[in-house]
Amino acid sequence: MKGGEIGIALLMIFGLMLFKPESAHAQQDTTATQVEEQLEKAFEELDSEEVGEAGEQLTQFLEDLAANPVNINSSGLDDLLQVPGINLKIARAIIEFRSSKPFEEKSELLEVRGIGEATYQRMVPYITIGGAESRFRDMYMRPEYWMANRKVEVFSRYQQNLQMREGFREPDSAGGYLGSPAKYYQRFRITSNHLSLNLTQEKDPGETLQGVTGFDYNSGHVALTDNGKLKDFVIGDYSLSFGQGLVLWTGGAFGKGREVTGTISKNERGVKAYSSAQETDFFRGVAATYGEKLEITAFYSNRPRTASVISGDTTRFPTSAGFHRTENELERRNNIDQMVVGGRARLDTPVGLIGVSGYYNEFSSYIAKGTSLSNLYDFEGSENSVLGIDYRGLVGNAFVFGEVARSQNGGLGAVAGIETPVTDNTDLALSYRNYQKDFQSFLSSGFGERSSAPQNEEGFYVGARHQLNSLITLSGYIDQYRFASPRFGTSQATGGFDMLGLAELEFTPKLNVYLLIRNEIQDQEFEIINVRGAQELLMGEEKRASIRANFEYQVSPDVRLRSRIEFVRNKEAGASWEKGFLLYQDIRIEPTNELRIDGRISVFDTESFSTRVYQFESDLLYVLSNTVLYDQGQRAYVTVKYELTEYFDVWFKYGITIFEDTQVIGSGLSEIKGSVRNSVGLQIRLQL
Amino acid sequence: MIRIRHVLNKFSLGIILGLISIPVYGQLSMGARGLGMGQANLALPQYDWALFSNPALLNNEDISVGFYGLRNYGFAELTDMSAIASVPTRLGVTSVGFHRYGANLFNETRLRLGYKNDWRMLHFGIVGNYSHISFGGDYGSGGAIGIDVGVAAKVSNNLWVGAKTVNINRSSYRGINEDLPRETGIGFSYELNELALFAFDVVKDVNFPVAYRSGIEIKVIENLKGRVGITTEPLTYSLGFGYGREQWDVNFAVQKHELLGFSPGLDFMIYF
Repeated sequence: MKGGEIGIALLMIFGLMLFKPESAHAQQDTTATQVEEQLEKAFEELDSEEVGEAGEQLTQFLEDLAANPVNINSSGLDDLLQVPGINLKIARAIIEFRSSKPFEEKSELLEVRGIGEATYQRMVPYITIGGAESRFRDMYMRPEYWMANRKVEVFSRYQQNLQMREGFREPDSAGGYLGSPAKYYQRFRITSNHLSLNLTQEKDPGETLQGVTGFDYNSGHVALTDNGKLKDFVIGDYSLSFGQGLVLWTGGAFGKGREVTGTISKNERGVKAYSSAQETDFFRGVAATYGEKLEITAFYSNRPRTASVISGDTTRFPTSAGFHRTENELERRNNIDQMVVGGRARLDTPVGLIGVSGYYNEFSSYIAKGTSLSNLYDFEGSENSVLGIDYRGLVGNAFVFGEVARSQNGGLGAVAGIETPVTDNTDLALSYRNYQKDFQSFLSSGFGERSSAPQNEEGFYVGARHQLNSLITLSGYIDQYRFASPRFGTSQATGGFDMLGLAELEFTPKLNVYLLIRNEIQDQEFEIINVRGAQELLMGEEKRASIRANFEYQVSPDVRLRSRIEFVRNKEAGASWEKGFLLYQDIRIEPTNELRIDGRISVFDTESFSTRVYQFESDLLYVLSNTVLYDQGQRAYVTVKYELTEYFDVWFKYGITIFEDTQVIGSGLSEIKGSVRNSVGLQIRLQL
Repeated sequence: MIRIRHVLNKFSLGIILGLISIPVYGQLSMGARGLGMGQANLALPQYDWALFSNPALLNNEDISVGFYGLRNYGFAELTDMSAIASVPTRLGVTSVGFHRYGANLFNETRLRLGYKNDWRMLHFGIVGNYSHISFGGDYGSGGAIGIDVGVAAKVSNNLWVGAKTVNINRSSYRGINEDLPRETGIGFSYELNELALFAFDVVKDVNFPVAYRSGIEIKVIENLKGRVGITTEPLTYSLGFGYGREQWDVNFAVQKHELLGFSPGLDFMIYF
């Protein structure tokens, strides 16, 4: 009998697979495209190195959000706020709207005050109106409750550069890489509406791998989510993001970019179970959030870090690289411990959300700051604590936010801003930040010119977005900033000015064009030999300007073409203008519901590294690919996603870059001989 | 007399060698219609010589045969001559083209075999190209096989977009130290009221500066079209006209290079 039941169940599952509506596939693919576009908007302006830090986590965050969209009929304020495009004002308006009647169609969001077409398009990949089952939440203590919407996912990903880097040629004893050139990642995850179990393991190129337990990086968690008043409970690895990020913010954040008005304030994600392969930016221990109107979070974390040893028990600040490839790197692997304990209280009042957060941090070694001028105000010692208070609320029509924090040494950091509609079709965003030079808050990420921890920066940002007519949307920002003490590579106070202008033209729903102009001026020091033959340091300006035209056309439901032309001009202080150029043609075809192929051919020609160009590429799921191109050459890639069966997906990518006048790429251990650089990636996902 | 000819030959050799270091010089794309429109032919619909520019736009209506000649700067030694034949079938359009450039001292011969089809409104084409160059007087010769690909789509009723990449397999000549050119380009064409057609291309050869090409075709009277065009890198202006009937088509164009002077070109097409 039992066997019979199982048989029937299997038949039903099989039947469901057979009769799965086609629209579900189509939906998923448009969603994937929209997520990709949003990531591109967020990252393409950033340096690749900076992207590496936050990018992967943010990629995963958005992809996960798209895979588990927020239910606009039942989600609380914080969940709604996770959706890009939703700010506090909109979230409240949604809650108010649904109190009179539930949303039956996603597009009913357009009836909510404050949601225009552009905002709606931004949020639509991440929301759902919920299926029948999620409307019945009266099964709290039943196993079905825990297993509802259960998903088991197994990932396996392999990536490799096909050219041999110098580190693999060098013998181990001479400082060469010990492991193989393959990059391998695997992940097991079980999620349901209220439960999450995860194990992520990764080995970087050059790292050794010995059996299942021999991965260089392992991360896991057990987490309970949305269980009445116990909102989050995590044992294992987690990320924290609170307020405007001045005290605690790990897990990636949006900053200045093509979205000029929606990204200056932060919507906290609170305690979030961690599953990314970014190796340094998380906490390990236990964390919990409890409450409703008044929410209390407490956490404790203790984990080993890697830092270079100065002498005895004195080290530098722990590295964020996460590479353990050579004997030297392995020797200092996990050589110190970092303990963090802290918490947060947040009150939901009629005038807004008010929060207080703080932590105490202790390293097992004495951290000595670097010796250059730019390190003058960096953290030194083994203990630190940061305490801050933050606010988000509505004042009339305007969304207001801010945070003030103080580090143990007395350094202060503050950010405040406002996002407001001016007229029906115009949005305005203003933000002021002042992070003192001795504000030492190294577990945070604040809005600003630099995506690293907020320190030594004062700036004022004005962004505006105007819907001219149904065809044209104009947006732009101006950001002026100043570093009171020397930043890296300078010996005195410097400043800068950053500007962006964007015209988006939607000729038809199938044809989108945008023109993007960027301009940045920053103080920079340069050396000259003066008339007496001595070296002299002068202050000048580094200028960078770029202009881009991007065309995107949906030829038919299965074919999308995209073309781009971009020019870059850069002038280092004391030097002359240099030029860079990028042209690409991109094609995406979806011959069947199961198969998607992306391909691109690019030509680039830049006079120097400072005139480099970036292109955001389609890649394996959860891999962020913002490729930097410089010198002269061509690049091509193809990415294939194939849904073999309902529960088995395969991704493949091959990319090749050919340089024209270069015979050596990179330097040191990462040096590659020859003018070709190509790589392959393969990923499978089992979804049960 | 012999002496003078010798000097002349040396002189033309100098020009030729100078020219082959100049990017794409009426040597890659063919046809007087395109020449008249400043070689902005990557998204030109119904372009008879698309086999030489963007194979995704190969003529898929008639069986056609055509001939084209271009005398670069008036030098007989710098003449381009080419012929083309296209046959549309149920399985797509196939096309074959022949091109010869130069004289005894330096010449290049190309044989092109192309295929084009469309799928869900996406036009795509591929060309296999065999190029053979030889330098007179035992200075060497060599051949190379390159693959070109192109895509094109009609974005709206009057807007076309096209893109192509030449020599995607990065072939270089065997026997001599020469690379087959590698270039990528994107083009647009916009038709206004059936009276005027605007075309604009951006083309980048990996080794040379980016070039812009644009042109306009205007219907003067029934069957007669006038054309003007301009290119950068190198800077040229061009002018042309075309006269067409049901069964045949003739086009003439002249291009003026900033320094080197006028290059007249003429083509003749027959449709079956």
